[in-house]
Amino acid sequence: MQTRRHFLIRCSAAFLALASGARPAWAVARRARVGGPHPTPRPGITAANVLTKEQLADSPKLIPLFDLVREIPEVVDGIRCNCGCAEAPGFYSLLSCYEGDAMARACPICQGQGRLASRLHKDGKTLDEIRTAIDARYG
Amino acid sequence: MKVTRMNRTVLTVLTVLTFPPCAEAQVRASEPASVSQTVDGTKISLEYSRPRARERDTLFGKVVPWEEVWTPGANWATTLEVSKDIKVNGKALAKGKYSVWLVVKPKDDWILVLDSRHRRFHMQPVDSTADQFRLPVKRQIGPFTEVLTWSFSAIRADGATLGMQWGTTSVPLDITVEPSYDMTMAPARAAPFLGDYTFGWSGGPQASKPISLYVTHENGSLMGRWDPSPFPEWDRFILIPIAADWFVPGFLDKGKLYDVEKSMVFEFKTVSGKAGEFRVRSEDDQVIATGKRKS
Repeated sequence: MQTRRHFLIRCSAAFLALASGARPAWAVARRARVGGPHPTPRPGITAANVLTKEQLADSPKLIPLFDLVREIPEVVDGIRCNCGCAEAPGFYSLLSCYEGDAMARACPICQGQGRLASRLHKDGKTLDEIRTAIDARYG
Repeated sequence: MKVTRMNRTVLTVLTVLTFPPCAEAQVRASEPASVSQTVDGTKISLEYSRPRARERDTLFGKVVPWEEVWTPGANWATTLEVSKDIKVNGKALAKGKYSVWLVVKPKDDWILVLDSRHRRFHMQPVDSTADQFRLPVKRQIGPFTEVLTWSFSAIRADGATLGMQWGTTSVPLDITVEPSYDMTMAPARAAPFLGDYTFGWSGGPQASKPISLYVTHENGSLMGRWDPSPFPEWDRFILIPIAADWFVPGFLDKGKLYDVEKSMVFEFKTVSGKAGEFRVRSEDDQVIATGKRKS
């Protein structure tokens, strides 16, 4: 028998990333969940800065997730990340979590919000509906 | 006695104005302290200075005269700050920052006074106003505490016990916070989810025998029960709605809510008004378990 927390931690891909020494900030970010208003998508925003598979060579399991985000930058740019990274310098939206230092490499909330946004968009949900779902799950 | 205290206060104020204090190195008879507790998203914080009993035989009725409007601390008035509306001993208190005072009495209940004028020196007690929070509170006698102490001695899912101890006197306050979840569900709303389901983990160690999940409606809440339970400490849980068909498990201890696992979301799929299957997603939105209706 195992405890519930042990099981959830084992299930978390982020735990594997942490175990490999990826991002110490994850430990702080994981439970932070800081809510706030969602940003307005920037006109003409693209996924040009979303990390590529070459840049994710050390985290191949994350390549499909970054590809999902790459498909909908205009949606992801209208979502606030609730892990706490929204307060970081240079941060604008959840899209920022998939660019540059890419918090989404290690943070399960950044990853979860990206996956949720992608599958709800594929289900035909509007940005407002996706925001509502994000707030219900991560707010 | 009062003249002496007043003189000391004036001297202290003059000294502070003349020689700004160095926070890094300053010995104080009543050292500053703070205590903070978050309960279900409501942050409750106190800042105060901590006088010591210093072998004074009678604190209340002598060091603190009866009927005095006294801040339970020293120097600047003790402050209480709450990030959301709460209840203190059942009485509503709006979110905000307050100075804290007690009217100490020899026999009757003491009076707790919370005043929005929070920056007050201890020798400047607030006068009584209509918009103050005033509440009779019970004084209790217990083990001796040398240094005046504010602490949270108990925490529940819906509140906490905040208490002040000094000498043999303590004043407990029951704090109730606004719940962030509505655990109730009307029978008609719960009906589509009721029934027996298979339950299988998608990752991690597999159970030695099949797990069933029974979803029922009890005492106004949607309940889940695993058999056999994958976790020895929790076999029953409340399914707390967070969206139309989404639920997070609220685990119980002795029948009371103890923990809400928001990183474990049950997503039911409803067809023709009846849930046929569900997926359980972890914080990174990966599927960690699935289930299908058996009956």
